[in-house]
Amino acid sequence: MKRGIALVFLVLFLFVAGRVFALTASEILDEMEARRTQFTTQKTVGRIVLVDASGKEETREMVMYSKDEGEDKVSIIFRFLSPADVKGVTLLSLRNGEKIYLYMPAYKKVRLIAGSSKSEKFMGTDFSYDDLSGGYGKEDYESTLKGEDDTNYYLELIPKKADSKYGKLDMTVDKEKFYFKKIDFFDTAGNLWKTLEVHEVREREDGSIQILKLSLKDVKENHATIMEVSSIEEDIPLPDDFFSVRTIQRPTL
Amino acid sequence: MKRFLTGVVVLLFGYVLGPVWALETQGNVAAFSSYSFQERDLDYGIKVNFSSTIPLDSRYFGNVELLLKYQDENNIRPLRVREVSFQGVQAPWDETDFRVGLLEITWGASDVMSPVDVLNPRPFSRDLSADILGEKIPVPALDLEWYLNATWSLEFFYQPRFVANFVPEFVEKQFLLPSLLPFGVDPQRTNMVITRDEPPVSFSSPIWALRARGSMGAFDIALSYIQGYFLSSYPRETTITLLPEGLWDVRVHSGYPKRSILGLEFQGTLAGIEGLTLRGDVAFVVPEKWIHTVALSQGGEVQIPVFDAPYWKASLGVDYSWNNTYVNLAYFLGNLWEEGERVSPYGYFHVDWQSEDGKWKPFLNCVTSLEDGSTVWMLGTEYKPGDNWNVTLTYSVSSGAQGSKLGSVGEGIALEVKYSF
Repeated sequence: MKRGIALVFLVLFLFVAGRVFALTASEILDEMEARRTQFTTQKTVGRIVLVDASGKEETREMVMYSKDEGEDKVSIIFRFLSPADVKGVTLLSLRNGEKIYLYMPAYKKVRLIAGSSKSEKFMGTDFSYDDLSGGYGKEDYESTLKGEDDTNYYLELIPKKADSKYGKLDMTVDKEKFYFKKIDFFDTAGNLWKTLEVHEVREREDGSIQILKLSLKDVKENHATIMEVSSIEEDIPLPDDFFSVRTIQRPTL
Repeated sequence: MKRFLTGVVVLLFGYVLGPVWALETQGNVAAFSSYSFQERDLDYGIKVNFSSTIPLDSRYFGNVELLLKYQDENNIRPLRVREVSFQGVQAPWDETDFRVGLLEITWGASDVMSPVDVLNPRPFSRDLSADILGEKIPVPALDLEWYLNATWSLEFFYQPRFVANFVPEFVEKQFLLPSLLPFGVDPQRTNMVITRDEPPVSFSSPIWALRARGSMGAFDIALSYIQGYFLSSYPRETTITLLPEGLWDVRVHSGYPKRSILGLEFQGTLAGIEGLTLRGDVAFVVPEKWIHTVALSQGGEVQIPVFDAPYWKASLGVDYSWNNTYVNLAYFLGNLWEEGERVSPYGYFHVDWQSEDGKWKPFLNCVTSLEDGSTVWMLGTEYKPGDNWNVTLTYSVSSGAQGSKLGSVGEGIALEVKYSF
């Protein structure tokens, strides 16, 4: 009898302890946020591969400068280095697309464009401005831990914004390094829309995670975008007026 | 002979530019042809656009842009310089950028044509394609922009030598002869000689312009002032003589009237309407008073006012994009060639749609004269068969009475195949 009671206590203890020591969804998101690379300015050189429904690939090389403007706002300068028909075309996006300018060297003209619709595609890729604007913090999503195994956590995120184009996100989080390995984006009707997968990361000395290669597949349009980073420089000194119309007209950045 | 000359030019082009090929170089080769159903005329040609930037150090650059164009007719020069310039970025001071040399300057916020984009003269073309309308003749000039902060700047343009629009003499005569009909001149039996006075432009008496531009909320605006001359010549004195054998001898002495242009440019978005952009350019043109004096064969003279009052030109448009579709609606007061009392209103409509795979982009353009109702329709498609290749097929047709603004454009089909390198 005593043994039986002890066993029940042990099971109860393990159950309660398990509840105490396991992370909640909110804590997982916090840990992911803590592991995100923190920077004020960043220069990224890399390539984007667009894959159409027939599997045909189109590669674009690019250089991108970005700056954290605070309040979750990022300014970006994005220049195509290849192929020839878009070489030198440069985009300036101020504060998450509040204002977007396009410079086309052939016309020697800076054009203000109304691409600020946050759900529009960014430069022909499958990413929207919203997708690029940053992380998946608990301030923007209601999160639930749906399960876990030896290597991953499985979260469900529901956007808090009523006008979000996504109904929910299913996120797979690496248990050891706390970065998302995969996100399935569902539309508001519950259909799978996009799948984002991280293929290569680098863990820095401070434990933060840099994503070096990822892909985003638009399941509805059967189109995919692969982004590969060849070099990243962080906290580079840039003048205050770098993210300006003046800069994007320069022959070299 | 023509082929030989073209070959020589191509060789020179390769020889001179070969050494800089390895630098920041890009360009395109385009083969084009158009067929006019009315004139039963096939026009064709090939052009090579080439541009190279030579970094001299981190702040100074050399720029070369050339256009090599072979065309079966109306070819001004097979090799045209688009720009040869020395450029400074944050130079000579941190707050300034400059370019000096043979320059192409683009002013104006409008997409199709701008009444303030008049610093460069233009080559002649009968074609109305956007590609051709964008061609300019460079001018020797200095363009310096002083950045007061991240959003406001002041630009100064200085041009010490005058360069005019290129208009073949036979075209100029085609324009002038009808104006002499009221004086009994028979265009078929007329010998016309045109002489021109160049404007007195020099280092101490330059063409110059100022532009202040910046951002106000959701709108970018610019205010500009241009002090210069009309880029096409206008007749000042014409002497008509009836020769004994019944031929008319017409001597036209032309010049380039002075003009000042006060310009406003704007482009911006409206809160609450995502995808919509407003753009416009407005010019208030103050011309030199210009009288055309015609000395008649039978004695006496007639004075015809060409410019005697200021006038407005404008291009105001709105564009909207959604789901790969782009629509542009615009109002023009005056086209590229209309000045003074000839300025008339036009309506413009453009729509295009890009396929999901980005390969096809069908479009429709329509320009209507709001004065006489004559209209040009252009229906076509762009096709992108692969990286760096672009094919454009356009069918155009016009409607309108004889002598109307756009009725004479006629019906035609055009094809362009472009490869970028």
